[in-house]
Amino acid sequence: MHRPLVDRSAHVRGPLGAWDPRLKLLALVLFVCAISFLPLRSTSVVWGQHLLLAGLVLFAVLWARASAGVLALQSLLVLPFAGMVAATHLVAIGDGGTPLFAIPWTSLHFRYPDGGAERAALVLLRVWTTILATLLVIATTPLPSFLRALERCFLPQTLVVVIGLVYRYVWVLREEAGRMLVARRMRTFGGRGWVAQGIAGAMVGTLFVRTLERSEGVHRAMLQRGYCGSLPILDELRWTYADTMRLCAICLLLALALVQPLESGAP
Amino acid sequence: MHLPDGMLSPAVAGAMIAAAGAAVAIASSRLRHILTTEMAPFIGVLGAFIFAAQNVKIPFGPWFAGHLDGGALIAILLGPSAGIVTIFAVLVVQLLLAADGGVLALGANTWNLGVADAVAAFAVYRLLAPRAAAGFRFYAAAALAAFAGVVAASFCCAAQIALSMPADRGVLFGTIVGVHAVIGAGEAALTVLCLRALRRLAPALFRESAAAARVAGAASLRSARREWISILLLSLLVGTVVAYFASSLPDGLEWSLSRHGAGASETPASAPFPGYSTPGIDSEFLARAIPIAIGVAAVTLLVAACVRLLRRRAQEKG
Repeated sequence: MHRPLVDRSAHVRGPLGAWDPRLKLLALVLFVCAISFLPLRSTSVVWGQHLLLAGLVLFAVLWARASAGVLALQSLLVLPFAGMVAATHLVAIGDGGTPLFAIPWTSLHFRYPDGGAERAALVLLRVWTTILATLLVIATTPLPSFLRALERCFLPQTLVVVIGLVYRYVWVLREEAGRMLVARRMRTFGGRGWVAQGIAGAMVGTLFVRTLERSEGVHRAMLQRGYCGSLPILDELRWTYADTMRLCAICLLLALALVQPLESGAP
Repeated sequence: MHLPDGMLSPAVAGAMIAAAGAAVAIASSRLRHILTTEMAPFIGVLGAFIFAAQNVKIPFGPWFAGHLDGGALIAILLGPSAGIVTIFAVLVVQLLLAADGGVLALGANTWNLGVADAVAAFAVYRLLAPRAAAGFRFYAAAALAAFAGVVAASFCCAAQIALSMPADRGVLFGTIVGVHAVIGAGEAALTVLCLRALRRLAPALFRESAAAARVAGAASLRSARREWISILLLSLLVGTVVAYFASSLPDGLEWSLSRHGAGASETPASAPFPGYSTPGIDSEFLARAIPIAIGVAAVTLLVAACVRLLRRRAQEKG
């Protein structure tokens, strides 16, 4: 089983490790908002803004001493769907422009829309930048403190408990699934072919039944330990003066990145 | 189908956050009895189950490998409320563990994979399934439900992207819905295989009284009939209202850009219908009216389906 990103690098002793998780969440949301508000058209001003924000994230990754290679790899894993969506910018239905191909016996003609490649590249850049920013925040924050931050920010406590339990049991059940996969590989000579596919449904079903049994056990154990609707937490979050200053600095940086075209004027 | 950040325009993302927030709020209030003390571990471990089940890869031919999404399975077994809350929790953990899905796009992802998937699957299942949870008709209904769930989710996803980006709509819908129709076929096969296994391993799950007892009555198969309708309509309403206000607010950046002459002639990316026009139609009124008419027709069909469902259930009772 591959280890999760969080377990591998959430204990980075970098400068970001000391930040309040609420601050990191807020900064991430602000950053993503900033990049979402940028228009999707390939003028040099917009490209400059996007590159500036991407540079900001890259700088933060280096500054936080996060393992850049791991982040880069992980960010590439999320890209296929974005690539699919970006690729739709390269093709349009209809005549005119640069004709690409036509489907025979129908009236469907495909063409290459003007500036499609630039827009596709812009979409990929945007998505990759936000993913890198998200990964950076994730890699420097353990998930339990995220949950504390969510609870303190807006989320009802019952949902926080549910999310915490999902996180807690993901690894237990994934290892259970991993053991079943090993068993399948050993009994079907490598896990390919029709036999293996037939078994897959039974495996998921078995996993479901074991899940139900486990949840009953978990509930009994929780009740015995005095559970009454919330999980007790030992460490409190502390918002310091430095956090306020950091938030101001982030807002200032983002505002600078957004306001840039006003100062430089129209291209 | 996890939408990353940077793809949706702020108006669309905000509207989806509002709609999904309303849906999750309603669903979790329907599950109140479960979530407070009794069954929080149940939903939590169920979410972990979906995580784990997504690890079981099933080869379809030499190149593709599919996995279970699980929304339809949970909706069929436990009702749409349980499905929505579970998927929401799973999405948050996926976001916080692997950046799978965006922060601002969390609302859209919850809507697509949780609300649209679970509600569509449950609606199709209720319309088609026989009362006894067994036999060919039951499995056929479950397969169609799983397929409809995935396709509905991909349709919502494509619509959100189409409203946010100046890509060609035909190509966009064709690509995303087409790819997910294939994935939906796999999901249907897997759901049926899984249900067949469950039928053998845990027949108690399929007796309605047992299922009702298991989820403490709130999301039982019997009492679920009104809940998905209310969830869908209310959250659609909230989302539409937010979208309206979000799009009527002037976008400061757009305004400043157009004032400085940068790309003033192009359509703003954050409008709800950026350059919305139906290809091949010259009249501006018609080009704008057709998408709206399609939307109204879709909603009408939906409501008609709901009414038919209610009448059918009432006849069954009476």
